[in-house]
Amino acid sequence: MDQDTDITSQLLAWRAGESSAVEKLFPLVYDELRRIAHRHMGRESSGHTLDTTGLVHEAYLKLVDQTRAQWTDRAHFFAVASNAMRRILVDHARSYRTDKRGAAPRRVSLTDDLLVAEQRADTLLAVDEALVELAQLDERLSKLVECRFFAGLTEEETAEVLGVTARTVRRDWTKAKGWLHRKLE
Amino acid sequence: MTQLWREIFDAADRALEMEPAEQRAFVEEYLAEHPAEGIELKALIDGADAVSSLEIPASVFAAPLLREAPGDDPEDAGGRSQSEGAVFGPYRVRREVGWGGMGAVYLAERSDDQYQKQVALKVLPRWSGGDHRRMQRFLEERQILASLDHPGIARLLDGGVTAGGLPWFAMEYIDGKQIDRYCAEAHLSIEERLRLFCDVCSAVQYAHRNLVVHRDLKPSNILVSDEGRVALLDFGIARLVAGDSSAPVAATTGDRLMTPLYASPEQIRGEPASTTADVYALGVLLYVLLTGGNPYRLATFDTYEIVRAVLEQEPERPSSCASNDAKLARRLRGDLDAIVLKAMAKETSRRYATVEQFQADVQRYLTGMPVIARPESRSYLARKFVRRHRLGVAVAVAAVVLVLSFATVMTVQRARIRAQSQRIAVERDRAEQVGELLLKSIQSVTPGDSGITARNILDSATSRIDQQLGAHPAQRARLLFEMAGAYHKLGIDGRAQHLLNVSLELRRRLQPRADREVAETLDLLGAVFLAQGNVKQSEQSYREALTLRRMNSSGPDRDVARILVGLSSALRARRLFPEAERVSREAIQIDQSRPGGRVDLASSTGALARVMADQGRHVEAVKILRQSLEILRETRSEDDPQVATTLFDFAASLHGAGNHREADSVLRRALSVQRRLLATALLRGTANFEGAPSLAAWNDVMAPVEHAFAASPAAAAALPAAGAKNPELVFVSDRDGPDPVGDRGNHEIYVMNADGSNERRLTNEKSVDFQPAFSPDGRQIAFASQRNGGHDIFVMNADGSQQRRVTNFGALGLQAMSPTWDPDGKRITFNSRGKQTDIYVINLDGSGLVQLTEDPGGASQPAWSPDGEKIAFSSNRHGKPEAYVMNSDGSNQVRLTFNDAVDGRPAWSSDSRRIAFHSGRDGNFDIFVMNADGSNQVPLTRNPGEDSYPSWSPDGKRIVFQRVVLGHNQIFTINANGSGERRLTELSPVAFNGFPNWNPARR
Repeated sequence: MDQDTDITSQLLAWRAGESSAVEKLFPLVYDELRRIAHRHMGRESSGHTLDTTGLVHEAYLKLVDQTRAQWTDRAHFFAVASNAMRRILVDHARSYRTDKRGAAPRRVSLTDDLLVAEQRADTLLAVDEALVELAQLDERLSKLVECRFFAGLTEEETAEVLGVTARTVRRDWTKAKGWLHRKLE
Repeated sequence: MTQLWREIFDAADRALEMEPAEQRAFVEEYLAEHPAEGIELKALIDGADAVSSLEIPASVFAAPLLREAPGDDPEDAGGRSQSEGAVFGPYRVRREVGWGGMGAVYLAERSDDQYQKQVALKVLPRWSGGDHRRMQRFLEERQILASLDHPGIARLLDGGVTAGGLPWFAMEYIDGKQIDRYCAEAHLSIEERLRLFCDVCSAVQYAHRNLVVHRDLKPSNILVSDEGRVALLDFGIARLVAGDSSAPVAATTGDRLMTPLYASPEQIRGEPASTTADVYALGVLLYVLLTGGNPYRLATFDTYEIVRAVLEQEPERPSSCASNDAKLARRLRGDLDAIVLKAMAKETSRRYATVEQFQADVQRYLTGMPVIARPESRSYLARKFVRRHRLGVAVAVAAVVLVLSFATVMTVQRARIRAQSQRIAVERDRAEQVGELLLKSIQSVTPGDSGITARNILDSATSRIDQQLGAHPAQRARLLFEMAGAYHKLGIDGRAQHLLNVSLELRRRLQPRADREVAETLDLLGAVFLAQGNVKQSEQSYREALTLRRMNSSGPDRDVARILVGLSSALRARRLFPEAERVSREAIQIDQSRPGGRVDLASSTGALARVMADQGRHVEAVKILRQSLEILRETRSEDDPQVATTLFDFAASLHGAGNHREADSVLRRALSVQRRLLATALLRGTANFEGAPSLAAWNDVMAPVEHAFAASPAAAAALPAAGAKNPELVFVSDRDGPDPVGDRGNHEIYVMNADGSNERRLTNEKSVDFQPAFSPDGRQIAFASQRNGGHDIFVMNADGSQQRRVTNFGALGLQAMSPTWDPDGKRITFNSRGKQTDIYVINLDGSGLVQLTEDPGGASQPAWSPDGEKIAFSSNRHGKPEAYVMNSDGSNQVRLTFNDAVDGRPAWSSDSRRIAFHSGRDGNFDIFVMNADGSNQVPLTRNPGEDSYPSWSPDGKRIVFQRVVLGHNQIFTINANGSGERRLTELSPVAFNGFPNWNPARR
């Protein structure tokens, strides 16, 4: 396999300190996740939801050579994949919204479970935008939302990705939610 | 801006590590000092709780738009939604209002303006039009709705097919909120939630009777209108059952579209789902309505994890789920826990068989009746209650106990009572009659705003007596007498007095003369007057009762003795002490001289003791009460109301006599007996009529204790304070649940003083926390825990704060346990278990992991000597665990014990010269002591049970260890010379207390 398109090689390079590996990694992971996601959505169109957590794990097992990878690589992969999942979902929301302009009143809410599809797209887009701002205040909080919300990672996995304890994840999660609530509600 | 938020986040970090109360105070204080940041901080913390959307993965949140994202599937394009204005039959779409299991639901209006009516319109999405199965299901839902007509189910109004061939139907439009949201926003009380839930049950029951199983009950399918009307929606995956509605509906392939959290295990497995699947879903619903939380501990909300939890995890009890709201948790604990968990049982056979049964049990709870969900095992119930309920709660429920005891006397305990003696049989007949009356009364009482009370029931029962037994004076008098007794025990003495007067009138006029009954009435009247403070009238009643009774008895008579005991109380209250003493001595004499009188002797000696105590003659009172207790030990069980009463008297007298230490321990014993009594009585209804503990009786016994302590504030204050801050022992117990029967539940870490006092719990993780060990300075505690799913070593401060993980062995597929400290308190040694068992050292921050042993048989249970030079441990390398010692770098391993039995868990004395350990060499486990070189091995305990897990006191004079009693470990101490063995923890047939460790810094 071509070194540049081999995700495992990029992960190993990253671990070795080669920072450009991250940039090469992102498009690879993004494309793969998108492909897998589409396949899932096609298969599950009869009413089930897309399971991102399973998706990220599936991608990891499929794309990364387990014999060469270490724990740190998994954390790195999850970090990239979380970012990619955010992009994929936000892309969806954006095109959905463009397509459905004006179909439902614009409404953003993190607390209302009864939002219709368009409003969910609005909310997703608003969260995405707010995260850009949050990243400037505290980048870790923004990454955390990517991991927990966009990629559906567990507390433990998120802790691994961010290199902090699960307890810190729990605390940061409260802060991030509180901040977003203040920002969006 | 950035700076501002950095400060807010910092403050939030601090606040979020605090207990709720502490946190609130902190935020308020912060707000006062830094108004600008404070407002944000408060908003941040409050806001975080409200955010629900981020708690589900984005993919689930965005499911509706992903499912039909444009371009994903060209055939679907444009079919996802019916735009405003589209017309179906006489209806015009106004807007999309939500998503059902089958696609979009619209709010629509009649377009012919015949009459203004809003409807909910469901249309089969165009993109599934070609899907035969979906079409089938859609039409089936329409069919099902057409067959149902119930106020709790959204009605089908109309249906048709569009020109393009798409089927649609119109339902009643319910302008309401999801039931969970409704409950939260309307701040409904528990009772209101339960009643609303019963409405849901009625609707589901109706469906079941019409052979329809809903199969997708969840909050979003149950709306409540502003007027509080419940409406079931979305029968999208409901099924018609042929014939018998409890018969399972065969699952078909691809049939599993239900919401996993509310889906029953059998549905998830794809097995046939019957009406019991709806029982399960209703159980989850009730769970959510009561707690606002989730029955399963889930890290994420992905389908796979939920599915696994539903199949494998036992739901957390509602009361534990609500544990951050102590008041709510208390309400849920017990009956509601049991009801919800029964409905949510994994096996259908353990659930309520029908929704009707489920609803009936909730109703029973609402009317204060015993629920059938309560398992009968005494230990299970007693444990749940005794271990969890605080004293105050116990007192509050005492009144209910009395009433429950009536009802259960006949319903639950009938068989048992029949088997008892002649005397009790007489009482049974009485009790049954009373019980029946009460049952009827309970059924007829409409609960008021505060729910049903014992008083309601008694009032209703009393009015029935007059209605139904007007023509039967003897029976009427007897029942009025019983009712008066009940009111008296509830402390409603005015009412009791009134009834007794009526009863007395009736009984005096009975033919043939009923002197015994009149005397009995006067006796009780004496007690009632006394309780009201009418001491003279009380004395008069007792005296009249006495005269009557004496006229009709020959020789020493039990009733005479009992009346004398009452009379002595009245005389005591009038401070006529010599007369009171004479009377109680006469009672003693009667009880001593009549056959079988010994059983009552404690009551008459107790009366004399109170006479003494009231005169300040505490030393004499103590002497008499010691005899009373001796008699009770022979004649009564440990848990007898008389024992509790006497112990309280004894404690008060000891206190009065200046013996505070013994008073304290007796008081503790008294409280624990009383707690058990209340628990047993409440939960099993076994208390018989006379023995039922009551609020009045409780006050009666507590008053002198409180009085005595109030009189001597210094002594009273000294009781709880000793060593409160710096505990001497740390240990593990599973007394607090949550798993009532199995061992998988709660092993939590507690501390106490070395005399067993002042127990406090430090951890609360609802997992297994065990093997705690104090750091050398006593400020920290290391322990092993399964809280992260594996076994790892954790450390916390000695007050339970700052619990943090040290090892990460779970990730290696190993288990870490048995932590002990190095003498500097900077490192921890522990052993792994799993693929290999060996000893390791690690720094407190998780760095510097070093493996000390590579033992083919497995090395474990390391203990670092206080001088830092050696580590003692246990190794299996010769087939059986033996004690070894090595240098602290793992070198120079020397075997210390040589025999065919287990020798393990070595523990150093503080001077590093001796090692205590447990050994099975004498056929059972005992604690042994040896010199550090293995010489002079001598047994310390010689008990037929199993003793293990020793730990030395810092002065080297005592050793704490665990011993199996009644099948569970309890904590004991013994002097290092083998004398003075004593138990520190309360015996229990169900809870264990173990893994004791002595604080080395507490000398």
